[in-house]
Amino acid sequence: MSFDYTLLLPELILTALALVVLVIDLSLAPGKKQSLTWITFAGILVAMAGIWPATQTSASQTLSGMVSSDGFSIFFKVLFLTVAALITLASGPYLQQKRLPVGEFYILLLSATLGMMFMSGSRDLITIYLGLELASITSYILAGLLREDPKSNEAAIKYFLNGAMASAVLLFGLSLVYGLTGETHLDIIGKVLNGDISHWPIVGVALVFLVAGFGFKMAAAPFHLWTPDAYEGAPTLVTAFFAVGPKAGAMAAVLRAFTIGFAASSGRWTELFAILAVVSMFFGNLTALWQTNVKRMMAYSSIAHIGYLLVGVTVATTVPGVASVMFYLLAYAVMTLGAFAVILAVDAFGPGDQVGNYAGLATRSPLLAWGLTLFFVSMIGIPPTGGFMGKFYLFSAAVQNGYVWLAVVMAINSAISVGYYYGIVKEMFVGKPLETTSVKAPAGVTAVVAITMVVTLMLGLYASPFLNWATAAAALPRFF
Amino acid sequence: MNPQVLLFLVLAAITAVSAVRVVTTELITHAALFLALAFVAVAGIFLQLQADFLAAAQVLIYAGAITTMIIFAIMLSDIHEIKPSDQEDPFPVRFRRRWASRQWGFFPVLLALLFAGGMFWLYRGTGFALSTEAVSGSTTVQLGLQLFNEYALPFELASILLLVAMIGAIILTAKEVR
Repeated sequence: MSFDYTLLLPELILTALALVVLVIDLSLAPGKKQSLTWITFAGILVAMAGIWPATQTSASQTLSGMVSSDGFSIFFKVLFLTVAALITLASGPYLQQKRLPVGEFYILLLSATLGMMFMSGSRDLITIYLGLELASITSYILAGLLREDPKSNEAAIKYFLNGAMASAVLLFGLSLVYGLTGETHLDIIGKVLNGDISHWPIVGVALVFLVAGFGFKMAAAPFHLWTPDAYEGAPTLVTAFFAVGPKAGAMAAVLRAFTIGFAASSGRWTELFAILAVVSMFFGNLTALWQTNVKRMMAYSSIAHIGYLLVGVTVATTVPGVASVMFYLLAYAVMTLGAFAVILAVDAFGPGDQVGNYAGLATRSPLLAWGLTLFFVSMIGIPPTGGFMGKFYLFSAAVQNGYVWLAVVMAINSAISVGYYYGIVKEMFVGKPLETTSVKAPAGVTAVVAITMVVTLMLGLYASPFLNWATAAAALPRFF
Repeated sequence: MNPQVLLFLVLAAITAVSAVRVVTTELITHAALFLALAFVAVAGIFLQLQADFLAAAQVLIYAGAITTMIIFAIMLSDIHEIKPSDQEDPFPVRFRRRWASRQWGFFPVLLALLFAGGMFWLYRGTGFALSTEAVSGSTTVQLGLQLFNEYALPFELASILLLVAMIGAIILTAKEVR
């Protein structure tokens, strides 16, 4: 067995970073842990630089083919590390204000990112599952970090119980696949299942379990029940991470597992994902209309966005399908992190997390208000934003593959979503502020808002380099 | 009947019955002990499949360590019985009481039997990829070699997972965090 270190360099750096933070944390006096933020931030940047050597080698698999470092996983590694870096950038003053354990927060964040990187990079069911568990278990802990807040406790318990059940369902499906093929390696599973065997009813049952298991993890309706409570109760910074990280990780695992391992049964799983997409879009958008808590509203909105993404997964048997999902994930990650940065500023350093708290934000803190407006415009899918281009690509990928009805459902849902996003925008620009002082957002949070605003606009106006990148990553010959 | 099949049926019945008792018994220590019984019966099934190491690990870790931990947790938390409280029960408790009661208890069991029957029907029609190699001697050495060669990466990943879980357990439960 050979081990090519260059292919796993970012993962190794991230693991080392988590351990370094663990040790340094012990040597720092309580209340003097600000330096950890910058150590973590710098370390994540180093890990991102560590991706470079992998792009230069022709080798793509290591450790008996357990992990591969192809364009697909590199795309997702960049995405996950960017998410982690932005969360870290916004974290310092927030952790201090909420009196959260600083060192442990970063260790958990880094470990979750590590798990997600393995979810996108592995070609073996065992590694995919372990990556998924690493990302999930850290998420359960992160949700419960506000120990004295009963809502945070509730969030952690609900997330944990639902997640544990999802893992059981997923594992049962994986065990059926292993029983059928005698293999855990995706390429070999794909070869074995490519034949008469793919028509057996038990393959369909295994697929149902896998779709349900992954559906839980990415919070697609009807497997979303934990989402609103987990989003509302968890510390806002953690909610921002939940809304992006674990979902993108599960999406990466789904794209790889289903398109390689179950390519021969694609007729079956595409239908399952189409149903999930429709239910998620309608349920998420219609329920979001009634929310008065912004974090809860964002939870339902994220369910709807998973629905849009699943439209792309439905046509993931084609290169444009996979590429459109990847591009939308990029746009979704950026605009969601930006929106949550504003929500975090208003929640922790301003009036609170109810819709009414946003009254008159435009006069109090124009940057935050305009930023949130831009992110909402992007989430609705109005040009010139990344969200528009993302939806456009998903739409055209669906239409090209004969899913016109699904594209129409998506358009209808985008229109519905205007309702709840508009409510907050109206409140910000028309509502009368209770106070006139500006929201004292820390520099890190403001920086995240500014960066994500620029990138959201960039994805809308200069989408082609990003789309070409996603297409190149999705079009790998060994991917199909 | 083939003694192998008979033994399997006995072990399976013990597992299923004790699993049902775990959720229906009112005494929480009994629930823990029934769980241990289910684990031991599963270990027996592993032995039948010539997975000796797995069976030993099942007894040591699940029936031994995990059950002990659960019983310790029960002793330290001072809850011995699942009692009805004075206030109206929250929804999950009411839900549990209804489906565990004598009147309605048949329904979850029926559902489980239907599921098991359905899966059995599916398994019957499926040619699973069976291993043709005979297992000779102890499987421990082979498992160890596999674990540190082909599966070295999952092994290391699992160790990080355990480290994170431990950190999490400490920060969520320790008295003095800050």
